[in-house]
Amino acid sequence: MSVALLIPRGPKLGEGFSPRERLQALEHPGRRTDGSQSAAHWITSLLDLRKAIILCTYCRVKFNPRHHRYRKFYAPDLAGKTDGYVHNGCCDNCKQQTALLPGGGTTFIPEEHYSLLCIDPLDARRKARAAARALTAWGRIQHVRGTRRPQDATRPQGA
Amino acid sequence: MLEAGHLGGGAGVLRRYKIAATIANAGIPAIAATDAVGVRPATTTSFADSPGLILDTATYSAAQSATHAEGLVTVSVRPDLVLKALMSGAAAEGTALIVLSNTAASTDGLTITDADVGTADMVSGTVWCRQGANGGRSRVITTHTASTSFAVTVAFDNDIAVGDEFLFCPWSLVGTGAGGIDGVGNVQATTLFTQANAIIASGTGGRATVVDLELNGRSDSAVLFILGDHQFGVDTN
Repeated sequence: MSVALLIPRGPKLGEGFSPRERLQALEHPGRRTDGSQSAAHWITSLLDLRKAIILCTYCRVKFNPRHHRYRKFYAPDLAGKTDGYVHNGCCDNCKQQTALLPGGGTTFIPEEHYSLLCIDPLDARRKARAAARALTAWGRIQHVRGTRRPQDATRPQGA
Repeated sequence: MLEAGHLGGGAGVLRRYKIAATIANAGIPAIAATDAVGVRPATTTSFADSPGLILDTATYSAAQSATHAEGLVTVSVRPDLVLKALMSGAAAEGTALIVLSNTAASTDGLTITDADVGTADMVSGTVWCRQGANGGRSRVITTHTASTSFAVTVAFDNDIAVGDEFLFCPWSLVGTGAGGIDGVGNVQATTLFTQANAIIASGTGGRATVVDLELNGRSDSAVLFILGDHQFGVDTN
């Protein structure tokens, strides 16, 4: 009969695990690397379940997001260090940490999740410009004058 | 809730976690489970020990599964993650904010009178004008007379006329967390945890620190905040 002896990790006996260590234990290992699962199998499973997909700079060129109705995950970079499309994690294809690779990682999310997770950069820019225009009546007049097309100009009499 | 960037800038960091409960919607804060099975959705009033924002949906099952990827979610885990939540005028998602239509003229620009201010304590919240001479201006609420009026300390630039319309929320950008200065410290989620409930009293809800407010219309105003009790930011145990 075998006896399992459990000794908590830590400098002092009985200290147990810290919340951070417990959380790390909850991390999912990702793709199996014992030879029973290929990268394509893993990514196909993620696609079927409409999960986010993280790919490194070398692997992302092999993935066609439009084909699977996916889109690049965007989050504004408030410091301007990146273009907002960089997210680091473990690459779902090669299992490298993307932060260690040049160019970082790219995350792709399903189209149906995009409005729940991302600030659309084009939409944000459109709204910001509209808000700037709508500040004052004078500003609005100036904007209309500034964007009037040449063909809208009043034609001189008799022309 | 949206990922609106990080206070420190740079790229987000994503991790995959096992789940301890079904994640029905993407874009909700996760909390660490006490049963050590995995992460689960936040509650409306608690973001305690949150590892971050969940980017996926997933179905929880304790039974054997042939699908290896089912029981995981991707979480954006940086502690300085800024979450952007649309303000909702009720506990349910997608409810327009309550409009205050001023019923008594205020020639000093200090008081907004309308029974729709309700009874939930909004002191340290923000009121902003959407229609009237003060359109586009906002002030911090310093006095809330239940079901009667809001008063501000710094007067609005112009007189507040009868019929001027205002919107309000329980958040502001600075405070200590003490009573009456607590608008910066908490955010309460809506029923599905995807938006922010804007009719609760200031200083109630999950621990959070408000970073910014987007004060627009009834259905497109938002609160931006960071999680106050992040798993990687605060050693709680």
